[in-house]
Amino acid sequence: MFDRRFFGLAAVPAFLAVFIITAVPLVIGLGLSFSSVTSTHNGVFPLTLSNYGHIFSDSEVHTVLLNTLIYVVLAVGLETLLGLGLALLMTRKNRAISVFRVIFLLPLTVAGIASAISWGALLNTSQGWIDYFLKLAHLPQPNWLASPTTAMPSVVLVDLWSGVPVVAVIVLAALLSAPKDPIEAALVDGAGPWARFRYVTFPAIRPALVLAALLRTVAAFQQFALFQVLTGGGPGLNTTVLNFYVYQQTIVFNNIGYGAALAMLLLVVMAVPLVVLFLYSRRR
Amino acid sequence: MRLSRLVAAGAAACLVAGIAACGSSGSSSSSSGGSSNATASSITIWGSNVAFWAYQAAHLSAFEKETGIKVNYVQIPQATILDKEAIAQRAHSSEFAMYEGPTSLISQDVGLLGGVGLQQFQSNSKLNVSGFSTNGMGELGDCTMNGTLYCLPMFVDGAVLAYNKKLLSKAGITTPPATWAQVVTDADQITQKTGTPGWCTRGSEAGAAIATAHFMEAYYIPYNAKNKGFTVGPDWKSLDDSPGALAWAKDFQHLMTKDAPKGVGAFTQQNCEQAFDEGQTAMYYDGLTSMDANQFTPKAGTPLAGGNVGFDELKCPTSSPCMPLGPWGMFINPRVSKAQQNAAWKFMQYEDSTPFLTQEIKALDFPGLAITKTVASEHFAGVPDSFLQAEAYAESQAEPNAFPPTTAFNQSQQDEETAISELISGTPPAKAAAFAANGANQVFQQAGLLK
Repeated sequence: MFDRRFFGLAAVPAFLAVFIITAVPLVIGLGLSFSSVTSTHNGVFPLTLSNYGHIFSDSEVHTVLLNTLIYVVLAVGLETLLGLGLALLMTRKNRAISVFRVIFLLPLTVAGIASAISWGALLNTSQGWIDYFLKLAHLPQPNWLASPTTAMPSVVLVDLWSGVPVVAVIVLAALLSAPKDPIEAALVDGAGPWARFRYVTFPAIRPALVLAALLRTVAAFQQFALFQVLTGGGPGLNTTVLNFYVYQQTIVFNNIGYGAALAMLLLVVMAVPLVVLFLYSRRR
Repeated sequence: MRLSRLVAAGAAACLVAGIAACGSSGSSSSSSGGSSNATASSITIWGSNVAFWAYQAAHLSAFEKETGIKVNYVQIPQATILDKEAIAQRAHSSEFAMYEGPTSLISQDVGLLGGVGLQQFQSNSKLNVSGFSTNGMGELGDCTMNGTLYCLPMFVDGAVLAYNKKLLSKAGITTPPATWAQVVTDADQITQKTGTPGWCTRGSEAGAAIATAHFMEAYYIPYNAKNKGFTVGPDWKSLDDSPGALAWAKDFQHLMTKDAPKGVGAFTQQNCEQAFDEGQTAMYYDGLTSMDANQFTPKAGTPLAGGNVGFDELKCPTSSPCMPLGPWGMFINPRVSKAQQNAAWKFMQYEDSTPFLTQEIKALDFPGLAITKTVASEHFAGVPDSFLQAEAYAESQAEPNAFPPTTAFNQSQQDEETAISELISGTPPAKAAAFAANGANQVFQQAGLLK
């Protein structure tokens, strides 16, 4: 009994810290979403529902939501698949495996904004290295960041560069710690590589894979630096995602009430895939 | 059960406190008439990390000696300074006594968040700094709102066309273009005959393409003294879909899709400048302050070396002004004490004093700082006369009230920025223009300006 009470007391500081930095801003944001603070009105009152009403009437929100969906599905889906593949490759027994692991995990050490600036220079159509070498190889040189068809895939590509190692390192840890006996038993029973992976390895690493997908989903919804640096949300609205739109409305255009309402929408939109993933992880 | 009730009560209290904490009267809080001459012994200023601020920060010993005021200079990246200042102003921060900001946002800085009128300091001779005078100071109009002066300008605003003489000559063009129609024709000719893109200006939303697009668009929309702004009619209706704006959209799209470097839709000012410096584009259009020593005195062996760069001013189509100048200015923070404000005023005078400006321009080869006729009339070695002529012309053609005195203007530009990007992507000009105009009209309607 004393242990339980002590544990409760010991958890209070951590609980307070988390509460202050998450719940308080959340509640203030919720309050602001009902406020009248706009680019022309600096007062909170009168409280209003018009910010939420504006979300439905703002045609740009539909485009922004679609862009967000495309980006999250592409980024998280590809990162999970490629990260899984990379992790499986890194479990191979090889003399140089340690070197390969370091090389493939190096992007983890690069700050997001630095990678955004570097990739922006690489993807520059006229002055960047990628199109330069494509031209030397007589291959088509896409208008990476300036074309409506390639701008979003370009941002996804840059996100993959740093996101795949994140998934890989989580899944690699699970692979290395998974029990070897079931795999050996499957080998003895004559199971092929795909069967071993599907019936033995995958179930063992599924919790880690779901965790990695969860983390990358949250990161994808929170992504800002790539859009700000690479495209500014353009061309047009082609790479304007919800998080970036919240920034534009709140900070750039001073529509703080509307921006807060959009932030609440982002919260709801984020919750959907997270709940789905969470339920999937609990499935037996 | 008890715990869950406590949590619910705490959340409700936070909600109420949060709403109350964010409440603000929003009234302008300029100081009452200044009779106090006391100045603070140190002030903090927020400035961007551009070259001339860095120079100023390193050359303030004379100011400190004359006034006894120590200046703490906080450098903020150019890309984020506006966001940081907007947040600080909304939070009623007193961390800085003086800040810099675009005069095009003066209605937001001053009208919405509070400002400090400068007349109270101008009338106090005990706060004077030697060498400073507003006589012949251009662009004070941009610092004025509703008859009150709120800032001192930091640099001359306006756009200029830089051109590569050899590439023009190679295309058979003997004189630089003087009108936009000639720019389009010449850019086509250069692109076709030399294989080098004939034109470059910013195209990226991330690079604030709207800035240079505005300079060009103003030539096409006839000036009207009754207009609320250079793209806003007398009745607050947007002029972004007017015949003039449509003609601009067509020419702009033509230049950006036919004559600009590939990928210009993602180009910032630095990308275009680099392309021009490396001889990869024949004409480079951007703000006066974008031009620097790379263009004025290019290094030997570079494509621009040997007097190969010319600067050109494009004449306004009629005798009416056509330059929507909106330079950056130095503003005083209304949240600091009177002593801090007095000290900030002294600092601003020193920054704009003739001796300091002259010394600074000579050291940096940055004539964009020539904000007074006295300074501008000097000849700066290393700065081509053609550039100084273009600079003087831009100032002489400033449209009064180019930017509407409403905080809604900034937001009204959102869809124009998108439309510019759409034009570069090939969207029909009429569709892009209508998109920009509709967006702006909606914003003005919501602000209660457009009936």
